[in-house]
Amino acid sequence: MIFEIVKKEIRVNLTSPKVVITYAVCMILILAALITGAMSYLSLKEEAVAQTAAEKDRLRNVFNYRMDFMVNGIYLYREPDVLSVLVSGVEGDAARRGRITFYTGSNFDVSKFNSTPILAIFGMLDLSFIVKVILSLFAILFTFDAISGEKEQETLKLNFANSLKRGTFIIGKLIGNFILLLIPFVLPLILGLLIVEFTPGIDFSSDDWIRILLITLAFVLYLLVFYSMGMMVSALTKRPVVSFLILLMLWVCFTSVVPRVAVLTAQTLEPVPPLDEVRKEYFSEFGSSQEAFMNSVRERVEELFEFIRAGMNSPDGLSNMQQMQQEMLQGIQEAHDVFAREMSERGLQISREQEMKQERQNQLAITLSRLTSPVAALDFAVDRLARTGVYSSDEQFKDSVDDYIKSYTDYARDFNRPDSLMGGQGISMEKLDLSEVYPDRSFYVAETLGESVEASIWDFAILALTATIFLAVAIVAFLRYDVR
Amino acid sequence: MLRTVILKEIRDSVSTLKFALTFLVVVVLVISGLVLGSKNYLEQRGEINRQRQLNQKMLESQFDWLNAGWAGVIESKKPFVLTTVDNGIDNSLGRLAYVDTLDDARLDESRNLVSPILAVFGEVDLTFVVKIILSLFVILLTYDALSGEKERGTLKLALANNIPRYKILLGKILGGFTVIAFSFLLPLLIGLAFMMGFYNEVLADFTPDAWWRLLIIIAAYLLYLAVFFSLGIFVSSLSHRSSTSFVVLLVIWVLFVTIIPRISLATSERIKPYESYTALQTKAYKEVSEKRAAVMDEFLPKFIQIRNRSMRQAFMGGGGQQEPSTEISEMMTDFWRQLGDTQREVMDYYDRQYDRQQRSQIELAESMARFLSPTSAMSFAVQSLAGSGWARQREYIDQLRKFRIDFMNYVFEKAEAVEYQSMWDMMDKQKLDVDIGRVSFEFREETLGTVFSRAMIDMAVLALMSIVFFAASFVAFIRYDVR
Repeated sequence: MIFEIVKKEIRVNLTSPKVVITYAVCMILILAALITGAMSYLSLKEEAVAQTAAEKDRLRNVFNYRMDFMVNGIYLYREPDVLSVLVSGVEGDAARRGRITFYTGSNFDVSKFNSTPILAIFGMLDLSFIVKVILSLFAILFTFDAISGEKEQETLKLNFANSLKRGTFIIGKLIGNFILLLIPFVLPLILGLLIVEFTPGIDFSSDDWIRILLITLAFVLYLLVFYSMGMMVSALTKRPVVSFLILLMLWVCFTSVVPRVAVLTAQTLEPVPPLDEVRKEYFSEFGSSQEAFMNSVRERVEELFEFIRAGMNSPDGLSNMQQMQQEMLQGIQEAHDVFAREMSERGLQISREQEMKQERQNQLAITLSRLTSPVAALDFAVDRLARTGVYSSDEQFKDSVDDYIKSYTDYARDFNRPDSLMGGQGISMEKLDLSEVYPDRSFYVAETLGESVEASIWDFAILALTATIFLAVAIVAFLRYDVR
Repeated sequence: MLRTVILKEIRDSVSTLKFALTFLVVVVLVISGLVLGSKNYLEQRGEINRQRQLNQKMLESQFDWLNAGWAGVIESKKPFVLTTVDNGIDNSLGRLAYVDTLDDARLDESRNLVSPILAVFGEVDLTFVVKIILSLFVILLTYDALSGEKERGTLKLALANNIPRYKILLGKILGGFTVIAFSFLLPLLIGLAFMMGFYNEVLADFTPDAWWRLLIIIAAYLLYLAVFFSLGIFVSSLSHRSSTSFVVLLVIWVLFVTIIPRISLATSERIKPYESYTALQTKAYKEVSEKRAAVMDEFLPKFIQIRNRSMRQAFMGGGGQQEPSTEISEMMTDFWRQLGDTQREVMDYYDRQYDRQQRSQIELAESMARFLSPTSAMSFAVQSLAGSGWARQREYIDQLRKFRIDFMNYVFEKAEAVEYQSMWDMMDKQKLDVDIGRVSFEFREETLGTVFSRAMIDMAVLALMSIVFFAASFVAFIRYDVR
């Protein structure tokens, strides 16, 4: 019997203008998103490969070893992850180039154009956006009148004139309509993935396919949340107009208001002091330390003066002059070292504290928003699985570069033997051994599948739980629904 | 008669649940948007003075004026008071201005860069309310304006009276739009009253110029809503079933609000691609190292020659020992200066190239988006007027660069004025005497005329779109089968 109802639901709705229009829109958008995603991936990858080649070329021809290799350091480039085709995440903003130098360790490009927000003006069109915003809206469109609409058209009570159980009816309806909603998502997705798979330059490993499956699962769960929410509201209201209005409000709340409120709450609960205040604190400390250092210099100079004054009268006093001067300079040097070390340590400590505070705030914001909004939960899950999120791409790359520092410094120190350098000018007769000093792609340790799944498991659980609750309420509400 | 139709239309719309619900949501969002905006504004405004005090302290503690010039000042970007209404892309724009004698002036450390979690979800401001909530409300109000009345059979009853068709439609349009304008303007007034009560210091910063800008922004909002309103009437007068017109309108809404802006960026990326900053920098470094090698090639033989001469003179006791060593030191200074100049020249060239290419891509995307989507046109207009977009940032950087020249002049003036100091003088040195007025940057807002002329094209696009849709709906309704 359920099967009959499922078939009926699909047959009746498949030809309605609503379904035809949404199918066409979904088809075009999903294909367009996957193709543009593939194109940006290819151009980013091509760029990274070209950059790496250029960097190797430069290193091969290093002339002034000290300047070009130790001060200038080496540049490492990150290739984009192939799954950015589906989920672009923060790919556009994440660090793409790391630099290691002998004297300053690692740093990452913050170019003066990083603050140019081309994406902020227009936003990114990827599969994840389409599911998040557009398909969720369609899920509402497919469900808002599922029950209240049939009641208005008075076809609902006709159904129960037959010997049909309410439970059977609602479950059939749920399944049928959900299949109807999944078709415009799954079909173009499969088609698009096939096109992408056969595009030269893109290949998904078996690991990637598992990730794609999981990402698709997350999308389906997310759609199920909105779908079951639509059914629930439709079963709780008597008029489709009302149910649509409520659903639209919920949709706006979930996609834009709630996550924003979560971020604001996190900012209030875990405040991070503004940068200028932190700097102010540092500089006031810097000032007092500098004062102390200058005072110690002054003392030593006074001492020397005293000594000279005393020496003026006794001739053998001046013979120690040279040594005294030496001692004074050494003393000043030591005091300066202490001062410089203390200040740089304090600076590091302050920036680490600031980072930790920011990190705590971010974590709280993530927890709050994923608990209160399915959109946020989906975002975190798919970004993680596609390895294009803040933690799975940006931080991962930075960590990988940091891990490489040691082998670079070891090599550079070894190479820096005085006998290999001409006259201490840093001009090298030997060539750098590229296989030793420049890592192949394996230096970048991407997040493993296990880690990604572990990090996103909560989001799956939250989505599944929300969907189950909504479904249960929908069924119960329908069992008690006044069908007249 | 027209008055009756209008009044009926208003009465019918206002007494519905959808109106009540939307109105409530709009009031809540407008108030919270204004409150958040005001908080943000006050925080940023407060940062300016804190930053200046810090600058003074930092400059004073420098060893001498040369060092002070290297250290430079950091200015906090002055927020424009209308960012309380529209946040635009302000969160993604750099908000700390770095000015020193070494590098070009720049703006950096946007809010989103500091805490990227903010970037994931947009700001809830007045523009968001109009752009998303009210445009949806307009669709809900209009999708069944004609097809719904036809379904209920009231349309033919109305036409049974002695009233021309166009008057009915005109009445519907005037009545409906009154309701929409009311459901936006009243919450806005409530919001402003709320600000008067709790954030009066923000309102005190509203210059007459800012009030004018706000008025034009409100006009842009209303024009935007008029586009969706006329579109709704148009689609409704083309279709005979309200459910069809609803789906069509919702799809168009999705296209306008989310898809077209994104597609225009993707298209302009294909039409006008440009190399990434990293790629250009690699090129620049390559060029720099080549030029450096050329400078070296020229320098080394001369250097060796002079050094040999000086060594020979030292051995022979030619007496002119002093002369070659000054020559060498002059040569070295010249050499380093030349190296620095080459590097700066090449880097500047590539920076400018990047800036130009990116600007032309964005401009193409913007002009595509503004003609194809009223949402983009409205956003651009409001961002120009509220100073929350690109244009003010560019103006800010231009003025900042001019200020940098003043700053450098001041520092060099001071540095030259200092008399020779022995080491002992320096030990006892007092703090540098800094005139904070001369090292603080005051941004001059652009005039109303400049800003308005920038926003004009977007406003014109909006006006044109709504006129076209209104005209089309008149034509469609005259030919409408009301049975």
